[in-house]
Amino acid sequence: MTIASTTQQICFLVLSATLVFGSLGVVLLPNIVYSAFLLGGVFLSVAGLYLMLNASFVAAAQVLVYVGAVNVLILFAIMLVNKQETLAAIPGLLLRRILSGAVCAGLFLLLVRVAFTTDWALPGPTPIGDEATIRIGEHLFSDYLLPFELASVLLLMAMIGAIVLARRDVFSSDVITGEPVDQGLIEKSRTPLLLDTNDQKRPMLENTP
Amino acid sequence: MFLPGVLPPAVADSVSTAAFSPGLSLQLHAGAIAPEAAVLIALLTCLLVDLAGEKAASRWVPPLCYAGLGTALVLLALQWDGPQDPAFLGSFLADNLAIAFRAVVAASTLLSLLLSWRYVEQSGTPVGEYAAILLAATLGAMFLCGATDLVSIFISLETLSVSSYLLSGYMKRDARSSEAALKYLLVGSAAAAVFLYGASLLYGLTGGGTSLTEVASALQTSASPVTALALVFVLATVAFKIAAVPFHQWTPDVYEGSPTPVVAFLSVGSKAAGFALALRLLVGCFESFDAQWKLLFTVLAVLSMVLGNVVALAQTSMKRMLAYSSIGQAGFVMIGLVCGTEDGFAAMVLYMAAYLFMNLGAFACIILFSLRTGSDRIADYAGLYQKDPLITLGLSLCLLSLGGIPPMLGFFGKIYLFFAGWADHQYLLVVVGLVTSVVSIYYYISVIKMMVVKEPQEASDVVKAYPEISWNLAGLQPLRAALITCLLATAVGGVLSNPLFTWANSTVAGTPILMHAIG
Amino acid sequence: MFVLSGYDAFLGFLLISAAVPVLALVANKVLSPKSRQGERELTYESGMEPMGGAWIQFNIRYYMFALVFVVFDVETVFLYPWAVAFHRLGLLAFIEALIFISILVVALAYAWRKGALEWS
Repeated sequence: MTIASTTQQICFLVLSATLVFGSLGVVLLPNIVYSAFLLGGVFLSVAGLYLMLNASFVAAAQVLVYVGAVNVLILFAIMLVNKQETLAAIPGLLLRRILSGAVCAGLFLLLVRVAFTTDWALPGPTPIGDEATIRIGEHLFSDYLLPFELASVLLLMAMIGAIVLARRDVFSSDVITGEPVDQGLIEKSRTPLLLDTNDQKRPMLENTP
Repeated sequence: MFLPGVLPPAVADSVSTAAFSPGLSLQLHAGAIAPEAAVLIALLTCLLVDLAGEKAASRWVPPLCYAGLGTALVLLALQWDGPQDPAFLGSFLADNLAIAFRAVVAASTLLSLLLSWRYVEQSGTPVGEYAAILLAATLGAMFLCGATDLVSIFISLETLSVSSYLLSGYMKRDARSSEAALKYLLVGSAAAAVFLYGASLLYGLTGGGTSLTEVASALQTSASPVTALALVFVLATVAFKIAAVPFHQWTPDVYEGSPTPVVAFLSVGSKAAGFALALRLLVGCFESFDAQWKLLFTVLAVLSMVLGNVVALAQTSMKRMLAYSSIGQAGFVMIGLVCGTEDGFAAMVLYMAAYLFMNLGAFACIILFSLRTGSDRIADYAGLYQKDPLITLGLSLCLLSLGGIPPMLGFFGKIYLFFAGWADHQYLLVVVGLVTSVVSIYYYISVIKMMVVKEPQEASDVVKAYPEISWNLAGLQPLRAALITCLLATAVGGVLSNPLFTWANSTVAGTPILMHAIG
Repeated sequence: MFVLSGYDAFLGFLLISAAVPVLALVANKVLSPKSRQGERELTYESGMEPMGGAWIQFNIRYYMFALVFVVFDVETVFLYPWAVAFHRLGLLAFIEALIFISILVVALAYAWRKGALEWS
């Protein structure tokens, strides 16, 4: 039982429309928060396109990694900086816009040409549908076992690094409520363990600018 | 509109279901990564101990690290000349090349850790996390030395890189350390992306295989522009990892800003892994493009030797000087890589081992000096011999060895490299190497002159206010042990270098890809 | 050609779930009495008086929750094929996945002990 081809066409059209208009919105909207949210929509429609192309694992990975991870990080990064400063007018803005528009249009034409001149009807492997994810699982636990296990160490390091680097809490009071923040996350400043007390001019190690 | 055949090609070639019979556990040959397992266990235990509090950490983390790395070294020694079945269905190969470079990496971590404890304590940063991140970097570097599959290479490269970024930014209160980490992260991510492009091209050329043997056999038959592009991409990654000019720009800044023990590890362990990767990829895969990559590497080697050694002349900071000198040293090692003869490969291995001791010895002295005075400037070393003979002796011996003065260990390593280059008619490289060695001797000697020749009244203010030498602070005893080990190896290793020569030669003899390249 | 099975039901659910907010808003618009003044214009914030813009500055520590989330999110990508292929893989793969998970449990324990999960 599969979806009828008209439904497929409709799905494809809807997904492409969200993709195109979403990406235009990401680039053109002045508010960066809207851009970030639209980017999530763009990622989701790309995932839908992967699904239409029978790549269910890639679609799932797209949702998890791009929507779940990358987009969340982008949003957080935007929300962390709250610099709503009025930007100074850039000289020659119109010229710059025309130039970058011309470059983008050129690239677009190039891609269109490649898309139309390439012989896409190459004999490829037949799609195996739901079997694909199982095959990936089999590979992951046989010939790609070593990178798979090493990836867990990489993730462990990423987490520890994130905590070590983010633990420095730069605020002494909560920005919103004004209450003093929990100091547990702030690294305690220790006095140097050097035993001598007579030498007070000793600089802190490596701290001289 | 809906195109068939968009499945990843890796999925298309099926895994036989027979692979999941009970025989799979035997096919894995998991024993090949036993040394890495020891390091991993040490890493996890360090983290868990660190959770118990800082007191427990600073008490138990050092012995745990020694135990893990010591076990790894013993296990590596046991693997020597062992059976060479590809482990993990072709992801890893424990040939003698891998064992030798993994031993260099593990030893460099062990020595860097010995140098670290005092430094980390004094800078007020947690010990357990530091050790865990350094061990993770070691793990990545060790896997990189033996990885024989593009995916494994990439993941281990990333493990090494991510840990290195973290280590270089570990001194958060020092703005330069953060700057170093950010620069390293940006440049390193670009290098990783370039490697991925190259690897994806190679993957396409093989028609959906990632193991290096498949890549090698696919490259035998295809000579398309795509192959050249893949070669350039892969070569750029390797050059970035070993900091060859013109891919070196990150080195001085990262070395200057990072904590000094981290620099010690990066300049030896990370670089050794880079050279192992170079041997595996270039010698093992791009055999049919021998002339091309050797030409490119000749250019890189000449540039590295000239720029590294000439710019080092102008440096006033000790760490920066050693950073540039390490670029030059990498240029010397590349001579062996370009030769592609048995002597050339053996000289590379020998020089890496020698470089381990002499460079870490020099770093031990710098760390000790900066712990006692807080200074890193070359001018502040003036007249040091009167106050601290041990640092003066150690730094002098290690720098002389780096410059290649007989009878130090570095002399034999360098002379072997030049000999191999001359025998392979690489006259340009050898002449450039000789000239730049003389330049390097000049700036090494000027540091020694600064320490030894100055009269007591000419000594720098830092040396005049030099503190009383005492070894009873926590973490200074390991530093002294590491310093003396490096000194002994550098000074005596030159005289007793015969076993080292034998070891380097049997490394090459026990490595199929190198023997195949020699022919 | 689309060969994945089971996604027709998914499509149905997708349509229904997409229709819910649209219907709710449209029905509200059509049915509700029209009064456009006073508090009616304000954003609803769980009964609180709304204040300031919606774009407020987060505390830096929330970034840590995001990072912890991302790490486990990426872990899911690796475990997804394992779960799908579980019945084919056998005991050895189970042990391998256990090693993978236990290494990440150490990460979780670390994050918990270092206070990265505390929401104060």
